Amino acid sequence: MINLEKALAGRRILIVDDLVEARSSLKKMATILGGGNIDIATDGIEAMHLIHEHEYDIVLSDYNLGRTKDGQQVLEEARFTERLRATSLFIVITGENAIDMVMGALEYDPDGYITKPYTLNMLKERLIRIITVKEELRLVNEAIDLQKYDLAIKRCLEVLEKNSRLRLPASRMLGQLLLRQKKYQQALKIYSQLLNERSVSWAKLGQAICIFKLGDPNSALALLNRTLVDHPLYVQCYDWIAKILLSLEKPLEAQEALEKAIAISPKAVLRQMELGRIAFENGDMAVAEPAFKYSVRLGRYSCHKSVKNYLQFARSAQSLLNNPKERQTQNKANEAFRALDELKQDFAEDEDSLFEASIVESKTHSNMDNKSEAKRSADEAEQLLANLECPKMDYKLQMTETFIDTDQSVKAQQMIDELKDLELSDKQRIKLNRLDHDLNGEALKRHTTSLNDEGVGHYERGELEEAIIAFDQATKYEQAGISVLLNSIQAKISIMERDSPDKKILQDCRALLIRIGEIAKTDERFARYARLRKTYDRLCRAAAE
Amino acid sequence: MTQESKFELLVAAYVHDLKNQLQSLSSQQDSLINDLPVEHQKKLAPMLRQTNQIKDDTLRLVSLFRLEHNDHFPMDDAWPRDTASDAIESCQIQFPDLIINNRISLDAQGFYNEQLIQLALVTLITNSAQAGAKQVELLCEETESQSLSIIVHDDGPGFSQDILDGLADTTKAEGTGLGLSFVEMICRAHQGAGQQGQLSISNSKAGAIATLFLP
Repeated sequence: MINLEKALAGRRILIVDDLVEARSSLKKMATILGGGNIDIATDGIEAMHLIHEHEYDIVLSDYNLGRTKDGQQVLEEARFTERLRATSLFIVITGENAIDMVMGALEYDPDGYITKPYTLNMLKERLIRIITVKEELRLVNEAIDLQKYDLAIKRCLEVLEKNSRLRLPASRMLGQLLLRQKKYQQALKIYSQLLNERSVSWAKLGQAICIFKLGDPNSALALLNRTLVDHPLYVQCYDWIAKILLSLEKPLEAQEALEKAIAISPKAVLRQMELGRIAFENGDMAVAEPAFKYSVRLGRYSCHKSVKNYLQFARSAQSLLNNPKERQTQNKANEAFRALDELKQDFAEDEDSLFEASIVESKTHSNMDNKSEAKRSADEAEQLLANLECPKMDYKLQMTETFIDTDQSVKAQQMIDELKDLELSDKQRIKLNRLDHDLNGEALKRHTTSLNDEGVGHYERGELEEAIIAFDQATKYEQAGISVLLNSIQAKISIMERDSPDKKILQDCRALLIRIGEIAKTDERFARYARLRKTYDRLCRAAAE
Repeated sequence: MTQESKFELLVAAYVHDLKNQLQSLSSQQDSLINDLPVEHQKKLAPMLRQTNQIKDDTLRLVSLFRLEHNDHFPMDDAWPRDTASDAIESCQIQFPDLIINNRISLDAQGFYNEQLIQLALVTLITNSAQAGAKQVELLCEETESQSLSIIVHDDGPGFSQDILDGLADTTKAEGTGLGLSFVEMICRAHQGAGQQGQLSISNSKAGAIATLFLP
């Protein structure tokens, strides 16, 4: 058994608790027990700042740290970023409510936990036990710190052979190491042997993971579901159920499993991101949007902060902007804009991200019926795309879509023509075809209508030359309707009547008449057609004279 | 949700909240009393004892509720000497004159839910004290199959024949008198390697013996 006073002396200790009395009481106790070099953090964010600044030997963190991260997340982040050595201790302090969460973690498990309430004597006993076990496993942890995992496995096996009292902690580490090295058969043996004697939740989860990795997803699912019957709050089981269901191409059920996990433990950023991703793929934006919103919020001060969360949040919010006049919709759009602004600020050096943010911003404005802002963001995106040295094909496709949404059909058509000749993946080719269809369908129709309106305006003001230019642009598109073609003929005839018949203009009129073809006498446009045709014939004769 | 389950849920939530508040109250009282001069400490000690008693009872109530609902109680490596020491610490506040000896080896190790077993030990020591014992000993036996027995041995009058025969739960005039049933429930919640935990009681030449078997 170790001497606690000696073990704590000279060690750098971090105490994390959001409650002032609990913090000072723990610091007082740790000092009495021999700790000297003690820092204090009042929440998970401050704890991570300190962990990034200093090398701690011992972290004593409360599980429940208020609104931001919890103790388990501090642990995950500290280990994930390798800011906390394997040889360092992380101890979670928890009430009995959260103990299931702490004890079930398979990958990032604390070295020990202390249940509240505790007295000085209880803290002392617990620390002695935890530090003693950690010391017994020091060689294994040293190998892990050196990333010599096979050596760590060897040392773990030696510990298990020599000291049966370390069976639980050594098996837990060994299982993790074997999973890491993809030695699933061996890991399964370790977990199964342990489960013959001890019913530990993490071993059941480990066993299920091995069975899945060894190619039997259905048995793994059955095992996880059985574990959940005994232990319904074991969230990690839901995470793996979702992974397995995805592998079985059952994304809707996978989403359902993750939703259950989130209902139990909503603060895990990686889980929220995964739920957002799956729900987005499933087209369930009502689930994707809050999941990405949480991911943005939870990831804001963590190593999991990512551009993707911001973009996906705004993208999923876009789909929910059904009624721009409603306050709720406006609030949602504002949230999306705020997220995009934050992205632009925090990732200002990353031009790719800025481009994507502008694209998403433009689409959001479009959905809110704010055409001028949508165009402004589209212009921004266009500029950013032009500055990118080697833009991805996906970016060009996104730009094309934005051109279409902001009624910039000519640019969209140019981009489509450019993309048609490039090498695209199947998925990209499908998207391109869809865009092509959209452009030549709805968007072009809108565009020709707008050019036609412009031409009519000029015509009514007697600006025949300008009217002809506008109608010529409109009739360039094969989607231009009969009325547009008739308008164009009328403008050309009017200018010839004002000036004199012109062979070139007459040829243009002829081409337009051919495009119109025959019009049934019952068609309401027939009278106008007949009248224009008559005038055209007369002008032709005049030109021939 | 049925009316009954809603009621149960509400009761559970209130009791849980009550337990937390009592824990906080007890620790505040403890630290306040420690800051006072010794003569005042003595005067206030009964108040702390009373709070502690209510806190322990509430904790028992919460655990009972969870045991009744077959809630999951996580098991882990645990050290009976530490568990016993924590139980003794809690009991000494209630019964400062009772001599409690922890004779469990430092190396003894088990696999159980520490909080539940601590609660079981507190209940058994309380029983002993209320039965009139002056001294209680805590012992432990480990078996080769890694199971464990924790023994509470007192110098009191021993269990009555009716209790030993299972004909009665208590002979006490005060309290709920259901301490043994509660400890039995705790033992039964511990299972492993095909065995179930159990409580056995007997009398020695000098007092009562309660043995918690934890597989």
